[in-house]
Amino acid sequence: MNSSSTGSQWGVFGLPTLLKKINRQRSAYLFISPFFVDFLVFGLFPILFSVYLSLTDWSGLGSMKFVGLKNFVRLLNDERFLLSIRNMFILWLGHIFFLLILAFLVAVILDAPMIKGRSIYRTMVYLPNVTPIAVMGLVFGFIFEFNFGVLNSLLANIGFSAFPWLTDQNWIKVSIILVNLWGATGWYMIILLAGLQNIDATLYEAAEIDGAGSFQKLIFITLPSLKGLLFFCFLTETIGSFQLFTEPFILVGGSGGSQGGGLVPAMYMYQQAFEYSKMGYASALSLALFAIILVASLIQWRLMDRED
Amino acid sequence: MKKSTLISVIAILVFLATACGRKPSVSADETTGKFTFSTWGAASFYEDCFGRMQQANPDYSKLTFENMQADSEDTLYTRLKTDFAAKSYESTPDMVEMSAYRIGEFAEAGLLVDVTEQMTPYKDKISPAVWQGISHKDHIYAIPWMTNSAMVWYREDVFKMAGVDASAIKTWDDFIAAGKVITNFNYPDGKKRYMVSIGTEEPAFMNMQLMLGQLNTSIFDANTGDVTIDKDPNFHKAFDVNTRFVQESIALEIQEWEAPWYAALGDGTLATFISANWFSQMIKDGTLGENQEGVWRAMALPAFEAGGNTASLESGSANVVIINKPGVKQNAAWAMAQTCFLNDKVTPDLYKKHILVPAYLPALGDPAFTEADPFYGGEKIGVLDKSIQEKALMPAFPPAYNEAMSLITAQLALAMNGEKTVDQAIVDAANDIRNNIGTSK
Amino acid sequence: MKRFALRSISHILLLLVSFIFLFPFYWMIISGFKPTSELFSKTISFWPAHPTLVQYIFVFEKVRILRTLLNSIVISVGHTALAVFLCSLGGYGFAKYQFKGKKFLFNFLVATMMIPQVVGIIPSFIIMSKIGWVDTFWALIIPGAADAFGIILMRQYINSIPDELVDAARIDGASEFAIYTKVIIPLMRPALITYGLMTFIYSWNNYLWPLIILRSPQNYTILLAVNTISSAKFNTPWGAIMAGSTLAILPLVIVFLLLQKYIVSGLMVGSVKG
Repeated sequence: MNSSSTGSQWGVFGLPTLLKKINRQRSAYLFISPFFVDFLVFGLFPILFSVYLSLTDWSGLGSMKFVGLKNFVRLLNDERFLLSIRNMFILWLGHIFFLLILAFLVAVILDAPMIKGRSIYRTMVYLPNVTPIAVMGLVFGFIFEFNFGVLNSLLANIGFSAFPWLTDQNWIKVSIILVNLWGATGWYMIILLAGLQNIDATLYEAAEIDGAGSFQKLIFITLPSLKGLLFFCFLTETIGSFQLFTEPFILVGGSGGSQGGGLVPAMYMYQQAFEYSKMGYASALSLALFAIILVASLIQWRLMDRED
Repeated sequence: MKKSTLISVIAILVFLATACGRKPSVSADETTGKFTFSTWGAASFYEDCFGRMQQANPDYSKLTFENMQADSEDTLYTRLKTDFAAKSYESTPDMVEMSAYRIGEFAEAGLLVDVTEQMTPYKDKISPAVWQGISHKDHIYAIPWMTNSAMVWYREDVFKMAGVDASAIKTWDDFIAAGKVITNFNYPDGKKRYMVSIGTEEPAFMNMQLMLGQLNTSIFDANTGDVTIDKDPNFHKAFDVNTRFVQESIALEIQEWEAPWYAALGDGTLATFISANWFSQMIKDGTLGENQEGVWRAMALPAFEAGGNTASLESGSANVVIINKPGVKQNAAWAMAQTCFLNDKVTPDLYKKHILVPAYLPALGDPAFTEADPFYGGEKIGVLDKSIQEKALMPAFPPAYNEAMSLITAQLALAMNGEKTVDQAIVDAANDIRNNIGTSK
Repeated sequence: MKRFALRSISHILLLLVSFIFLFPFYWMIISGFKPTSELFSKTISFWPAHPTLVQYIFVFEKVRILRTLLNSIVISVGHTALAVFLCSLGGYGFAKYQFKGKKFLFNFLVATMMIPQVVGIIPSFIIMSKIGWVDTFWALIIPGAADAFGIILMRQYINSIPDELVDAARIDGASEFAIYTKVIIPLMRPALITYGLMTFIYSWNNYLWPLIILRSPQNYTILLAVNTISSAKFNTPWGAIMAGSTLAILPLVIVFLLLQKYIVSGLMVGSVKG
């Protein structure tokens, strides 16, 4: 309903209703304005500044020389950037379905009252999210190391040969995905758990009366009720995954590892900005990445049936 | 929650947030207030330095020393850059630690105070290689306090087991030959050992650095700024030796600076570590594990040809720089550096206490650094260090050094794998540098 | 019988997942009790061979634990409170109101989530310096509280609250703001606590931005302080960092354990029937 349809109510219900409507609109703006004030001041300026920087060759020190679209021309031919984009897509597809399914399963299990010690499990699943980065770096380097790491030692004990977790450009991706799953499952589990709480229990009761089993309840009640939230999770995780930085960085360092197997766009940007002092180019890269994320999100939006 | 409780909580938070935070503005007078320093290393060393300076210069006795610890070198540089980009100097330190290869970049951008006048009297008391590293366009911008003298550390116990005589290793060819013996030997305990490690990220970065220094070879031409690596036979030699480490199977490919690598060094799985004098601290402080006493020795780098140069500084020197900000306490800063790093009496005493080796040549003559060290089987590491410092020559570090080395090691990795010939890899590296960086000087 | 099978499988899955998930955590904790020489030994010791408090003593000597802990608390509580407030307020506005520009503004917010943060550090710092917030807590509390993710999440949750409830309250004569505080907030408790918890943890563990903006040691968050332990030597004091990290995240674990009861309570049953 927008303001153009108030004409009919003007006639039927009179002035008070119209005023109430205008008042409501104003309220709406009042409700969202604190957020937007904070956002415009602190969130928007860096973005606009980045856009400006992308048209310069600023190194982070000294003068900013305007160079027009030179950075953008360069990135189109930048092999390492293109490699990083390719890696990004592979990592995204390789992890997102596993992640959401696992998070969903764990949330469902931990929502059911029949499991004892739920709060302890919940804590344990969420703990990875709480682990500081320095710790992660040390421990995972140690777990995935080829010659003497924990994983390969365990595998050797049960008769498997060692896997080149961090030294082969393809296995690096597997390792990144595993660490990503480790860290992110708890996060989405919590979000889905809160969503599960919001599902009307009477729906389940009605279904049980109709003779539905656990599995059927899951498929016909739980999943549809969570559809909006699941889509939200998928979209958010996609956006986050396209900006992945921490996991590749702690596993294979800022250069992306063997043949750039773990090189992701965010890491390449960081390298350009802070290691090679190319703030201008890094800003252009970030805009390019933004464009890619935007397009991918729009496509997802269309593909997934949204009723809102 | 009740409204009044909520308001009280908010009020308390606001109060705390305001109270904790703002610092009083820095006074322009150099003799009072705070002297701020920043390092990613051991603050206690610098604190001690400052204290000694105050003893020698009572004028500065009212200053208080504050260290802004950085968790890494990069953080320190990022903080400097953000401060200067925003022209916000309230939280900028007066003096910081800085590696030689970053001096060019920061000096060029005007962040460092020119100390040419103060340093010139000390020119012949500092290694020429170090002097090169602290200069930018013929001006001096830093005071060196330690050199990273390149050395090969080796396990005497492993060498003995395999029957290798370290003193017979004179060239890199000898080194590789010894490596084959070490790596192929059947040890009594049945373990597999390797001569060297090659990292999985930017492999042989450090090796290339110190070898290029050893050959006094640069990546870019000092005058034109053009890439020279594809026309330089010296570069080819360094590139080739590292490729051979892998191709002739004397290297363990392992992620360096991680737990399993420390363990491999500690238990003798790796027979050597090509690095610098700072490795001594890691051996002695337990990082590599227990039982390190008596098994390690150090020697100068093998030469590329019989009788060739064996002296290099792994990445130049560790230095302090004075930051060119408004109100910088530069006299106090210079006094600190001069008293502690360039003083015939204070320097040896200070360094002896902190188990460090100075960059000040006269101080290196002190018995503390020329004594035999029982930890290393009676070897005189300090004497070795001094001779390396005196003989080393290093090319200057161009601003794009870091990026160029990244591109070079990427190609080196491919040559090590056998995916390219050394010649091809060098040509590709040169082209990568031309395309991504252009010229640099 | 089927119930038992389901329960067993669930337990096994949960135990497996928990064990794998917990391992790095466990490693961090025991590393804090190992002497430096044992930290990197090749024989992986799943339990310290020579347990020691050396690392913890070192941490307490070098780090002002109480002060930095207080800093972290003030920063994280402040930031979380503000974020929850802004996002729930705004989320309600987007969920239950129609207004001009709603679609555009919302899509704009979603789009901003897609902009990589990496290069925004320097411009953000410039703003901070202009308003004098460098080395202050304000710089960690106010910016970022307008979290696009948060407001979208809130909107998502509020959408599932039936409109009838809002209309019913309006008919009863409640003011718009009163509807928000008396009707919506209570129903959103799980969502608020969930988002609050996540934001709190994010703020507590936030590393890069605090590292750049905080300079005086007495202003550091506890995580920062622990990672900048200046040892007497020049090598990274890993043992102390592990011990310190354990201390630094202990409050988080406690907060999580305490609050998670609230995440799963607050059902809406009953209110719908009205």
